[in-house]
Amino acid sequence: MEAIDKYIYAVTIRLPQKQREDIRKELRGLIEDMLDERCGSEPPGPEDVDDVLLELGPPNEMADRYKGKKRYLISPLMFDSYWSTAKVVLASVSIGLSVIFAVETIVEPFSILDHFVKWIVSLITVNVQALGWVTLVFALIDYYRPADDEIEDKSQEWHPRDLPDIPDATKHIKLSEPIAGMVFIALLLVVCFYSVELVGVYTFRDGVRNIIPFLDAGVFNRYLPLIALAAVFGLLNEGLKLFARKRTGKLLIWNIILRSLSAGVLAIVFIDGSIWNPLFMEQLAASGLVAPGSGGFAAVEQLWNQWTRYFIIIIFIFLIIDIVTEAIRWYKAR
Amino acid sequence: MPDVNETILGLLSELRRGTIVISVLSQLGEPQYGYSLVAELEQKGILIEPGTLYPLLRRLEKQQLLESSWDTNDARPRKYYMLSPFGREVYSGLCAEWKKLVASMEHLLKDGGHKDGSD
Repeated sequence: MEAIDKYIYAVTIRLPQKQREDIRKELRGLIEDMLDERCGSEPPGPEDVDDVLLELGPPNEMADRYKGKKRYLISPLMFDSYWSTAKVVLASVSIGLSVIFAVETIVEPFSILDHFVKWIVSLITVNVQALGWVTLVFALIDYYRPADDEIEDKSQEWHPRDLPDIPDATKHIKLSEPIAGMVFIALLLVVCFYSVELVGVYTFRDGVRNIIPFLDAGVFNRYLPLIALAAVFGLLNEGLKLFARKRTGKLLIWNIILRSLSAGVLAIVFIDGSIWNPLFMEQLAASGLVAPGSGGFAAVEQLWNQWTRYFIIIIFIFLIIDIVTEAIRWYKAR
Repeated sequence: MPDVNETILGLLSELRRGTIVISVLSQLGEPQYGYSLVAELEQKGILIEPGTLYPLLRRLEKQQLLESSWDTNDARPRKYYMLSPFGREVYSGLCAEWKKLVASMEHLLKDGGHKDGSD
């Protein structure tokens, strides 16, 4: 009776641990009863067993009936939000990688083939990874979703007064705004994680392109977890807008909190002076862009020193501009 | 043109689906195990697949309409189900509603059933 054991196993393995033993015993009793009815006192043959199992139906459907909900990785209920999130993420990743490819090709036009291969490979691997993570997160949400009949109970409490307002054109947040924000953050994140050395001054001399990076990649990479944290705050901020789609006082407060957190974390990164390329002025001089000792060199050096020293202030100025624009938009929308 | 019999069968199975719970509750004044219930219902003209009934019994138990106990004296251990006091109350309420529904349906079919435009 190997088929019976296999069938019962295939049903119970799909069920919660604590119900398995009980259902196992009950199903075995049922199958034996059904065999008795078919064969009477005769010992049942393999075809009889097959017939009985066929009557019971596929084990996954049997398990679904026991669970009271159908098994989906992403259920139809969640699929729309899953798909739009996946599209935004995949588009951001692809744009980011393409920008890197473009920049690298401009910097080293002779290795275009290498860059191209790297670009294609990374397009596939990074997109697959990104899709995997999005899917995993949604699958987990779906897994812990209550059974369908429990959801129905809740929906009975619905009342027409719960209907959302028809969006007012002035209060309404255009879909493109948070999505552009997310794409921008994703781009920055890709650059920070993969090619921070590409951010710098580009020089072109004797047919050779050269980059003088602003940042010290070694030091910067140690701060990547903080950069990721700042990005998470930024993405949450855009996500809230995407979710709310309407300018409200509450949303404004959350925007201010999340933006400030994001700027605060960035400030922690940039307060460390060693994050800047310590050889920047030397490399600039070596590139021949400015001659050491000249007035221009002194001016650039002063600018560079001030820039690195006051970068945090620049971050906060941007933060304030951001908050003020948001507040004005909200005020106008009231 | 869709097939008349097929359409009737489809609609009929929908109607039957709605009556499964009340049919099952009606037979569980006394303790029964799943397969004996299938046989009894079948004998009284109500067909229900064991693959549908067994999960349903568990669900009704979870809703506290049924109580269950294992009988392990037999060579084949069996899980017996019967109405809980709460289940009895629900069942008698449901029966009253069912009778009202049948009366309304009778009324509907008697009044409107022959208005097919032939006269």
